[in-house]
Amino acid sequence: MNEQQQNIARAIVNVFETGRIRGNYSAVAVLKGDSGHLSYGRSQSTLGSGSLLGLLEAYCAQPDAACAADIKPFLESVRQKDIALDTNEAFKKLLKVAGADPVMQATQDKYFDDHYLAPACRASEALGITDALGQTVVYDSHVQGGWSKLQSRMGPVIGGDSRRWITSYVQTRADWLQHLKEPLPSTVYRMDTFEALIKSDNWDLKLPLTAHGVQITETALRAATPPAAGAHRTLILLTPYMQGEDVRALQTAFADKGLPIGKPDGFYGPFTAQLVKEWQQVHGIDETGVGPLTWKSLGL
Amino acid sequence: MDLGSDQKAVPRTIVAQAVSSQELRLCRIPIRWNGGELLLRVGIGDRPSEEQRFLVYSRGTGSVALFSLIIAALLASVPLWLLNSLTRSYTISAGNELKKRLLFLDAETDTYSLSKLQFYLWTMAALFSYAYLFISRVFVQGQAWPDVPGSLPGIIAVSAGTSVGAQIITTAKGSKGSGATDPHLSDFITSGGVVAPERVQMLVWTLFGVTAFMVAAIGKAPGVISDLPPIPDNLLYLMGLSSLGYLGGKMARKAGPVLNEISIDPGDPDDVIALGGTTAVVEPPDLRPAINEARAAQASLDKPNFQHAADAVAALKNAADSAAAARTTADLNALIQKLITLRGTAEKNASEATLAYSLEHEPDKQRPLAADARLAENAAALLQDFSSAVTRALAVAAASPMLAVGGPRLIKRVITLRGTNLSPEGLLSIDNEELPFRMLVIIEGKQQPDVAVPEPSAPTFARLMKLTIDPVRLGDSDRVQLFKWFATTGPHSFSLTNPDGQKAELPFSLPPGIAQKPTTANADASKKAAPSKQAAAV
Repeated sequence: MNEQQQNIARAIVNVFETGRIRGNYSAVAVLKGDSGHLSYGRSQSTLGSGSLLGLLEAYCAQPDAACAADIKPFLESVRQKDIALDTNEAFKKLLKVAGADPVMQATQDKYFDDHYLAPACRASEALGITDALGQTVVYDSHVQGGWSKLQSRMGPVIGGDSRRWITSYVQTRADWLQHLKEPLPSTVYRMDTFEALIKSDNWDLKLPLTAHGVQITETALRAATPPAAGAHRTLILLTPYMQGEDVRALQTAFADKGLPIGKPDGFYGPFTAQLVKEWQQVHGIDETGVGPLTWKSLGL
Repeated sequence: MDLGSDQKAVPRTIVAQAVSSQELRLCRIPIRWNGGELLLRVGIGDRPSEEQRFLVYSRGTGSVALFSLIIAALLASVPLWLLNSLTRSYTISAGNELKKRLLFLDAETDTYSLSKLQFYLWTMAALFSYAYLFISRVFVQGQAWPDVPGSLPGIIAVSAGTSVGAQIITTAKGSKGSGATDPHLSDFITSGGVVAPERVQMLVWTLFGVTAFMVAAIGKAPGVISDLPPIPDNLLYLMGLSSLGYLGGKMARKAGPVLNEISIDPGDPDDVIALGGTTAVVEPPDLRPAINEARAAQASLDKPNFQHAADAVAALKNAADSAAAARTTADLNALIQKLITLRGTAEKNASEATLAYSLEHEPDKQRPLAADARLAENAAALLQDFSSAVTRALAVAAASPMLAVGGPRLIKRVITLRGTNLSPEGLLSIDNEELPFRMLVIIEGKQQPDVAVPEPSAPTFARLMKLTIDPVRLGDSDRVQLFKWFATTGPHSFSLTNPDGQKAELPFSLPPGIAQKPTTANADASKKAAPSKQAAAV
């Protein structure tokens, strides 16, 4: 997979996990039962598996990690897999705050790539699966789990026909998910997405494509890329809508200037986009979405 | 020559050969089949000698001993036949039928009992010897039924006293360790798998004494035996001392562990749990926070002025209501699809409300349209967030069972041991692989077994002990070991070795009842022995 295809693969799996292309870096949950306990991050690093420790250690090792000093005192408990952390609200809150730190987001991206994407690519290539879609299917199985179990059932790729193998794998996995415990059958939407992409012969993951009701476009992918430090994102109208503190700042600025934005909510929807367009027309700004010129015109 | 009263048996000719002046060898002397008295006179010319009386016996030592052995064996076979005719079986481990061995089994520990062996051996020796005496006196010598010889009560007293004493000590102090799963001949000289010198001594003395007594009994020919040989007082004394040593050892040694029942919770192996077994925790996605948040947000929205905003808000409400009503997998699947549709509806209405606003240029009319467009945008955004939260909740809920299926299996196991004299400081092992304390969860600040019910007479021991293993806390090598034990269906064996070396072993299986069928025994044994060494599940 080239870099663009890897981004698309990440976006697809993020949509499966969080309903959004960007993923949820601040997500904190406690897995029910005894399997994983505390779960954190874009692709659910868990206390039980030890992956949470790996992620937090990697984050704390970054010189500019904003929450490192606060997290470090908890590392020993994480190392001991102390399940009391499941109910430690201070720690959970800290993790949520850290999720907003671009350093944490970058750490998560690298950590999950190292632990899911890279092994998935290696496993795919070992089987002779070279298509981006095929490798994304394998990547999804690494993130959701169960790859080893199903792959061993499937046997090797025969005659180099990896597309046929992937098609069969997706069907087998869909059937397998349907027969597992609740709520795993309800996650079969992941395979539905892949089946649709296979039917449309989109083996190279050409954009736009739709995953679980979310349209992934070039623009959406770009918008999902974190801005450089100190820079604003470019806000554009996407589905789902872009959201964040920068959008709230924009809406607050509009409200201050008497535009009918109402109460700022941090979502960049069609009405906010319409107000931006009107603002740009009034101020002679020729820009798609909220770019540097618009930010500057608003004094932000 | 006078051949007694039975003249019919007298042959016509007796052949005699003079070997010397002192010895005459006679042949063809007629003897009745059952022996009898023989009167012999020898004459030279008309001068007969004085009459000599001889007793002739038809049975020698070998044949009488053989008869005695058969009689003793027949008598011994009666209890064996009774045991064998039981309709119920007695099985400790799979495929090992043990009801014929119940005579020797200590029902509490399912081990061979030395005191019982001693008692039976002496009983058999007494039976054999008395049968030998009886046959000899009644059928060979034609005498009256012989009285019980004076030496028998002594040996019966020693053996019975040992057996009773052993039982009293066991009741008072607790039994020996139950050792390996199935009884083994080594049980006679070991206690909970540890060789006990006093048991060795008693076994050797018993074997020697029994053999010596029987050999001495048949040392006298059936024709001349009148009583069983007396056991030398010192030998009897020595045997008594040996028995006392055995009982003293029992008294001095700590009671050993006995495992009666082992329960594993969950009882299914990892792969069964992962593929829909019955005992794994199943948690539906927790949608309540998302629903509550969506409803609260919806309640805070302004009232719509026009249709587009009303439709967007209605889509949000519909989504929250549908999620609240989702109960089954089918409901959840339908909800996921419905959320995509409702999201599209809300987004479309938000866009159309904005379009309506943009097309209106009259400020008075534009103001409510702006409010509506903003409202519709808000509702659509909230619905997107709600949909994302549902997806996230589903992914979180699915992660746990998926980890059990395809990832490292992290199923916490609680092993409950029931028995007696179970030391919480003992060595634990499964399938002969050590179960180190570091694999157990922390109880009162230490990684150790949890004594749920202490032994009343020895509070440092347990009657009910729980071992909790949480794979989440384990290192990689311990996890591998745990998976080895609990990954798949099959029989296993658990053992506990108390600090003094006495050991108890018990088979179990995953799931329970596969490797071992429930055991039943005769009415008496079923009260005591049947529950012992059985695997069971909670």
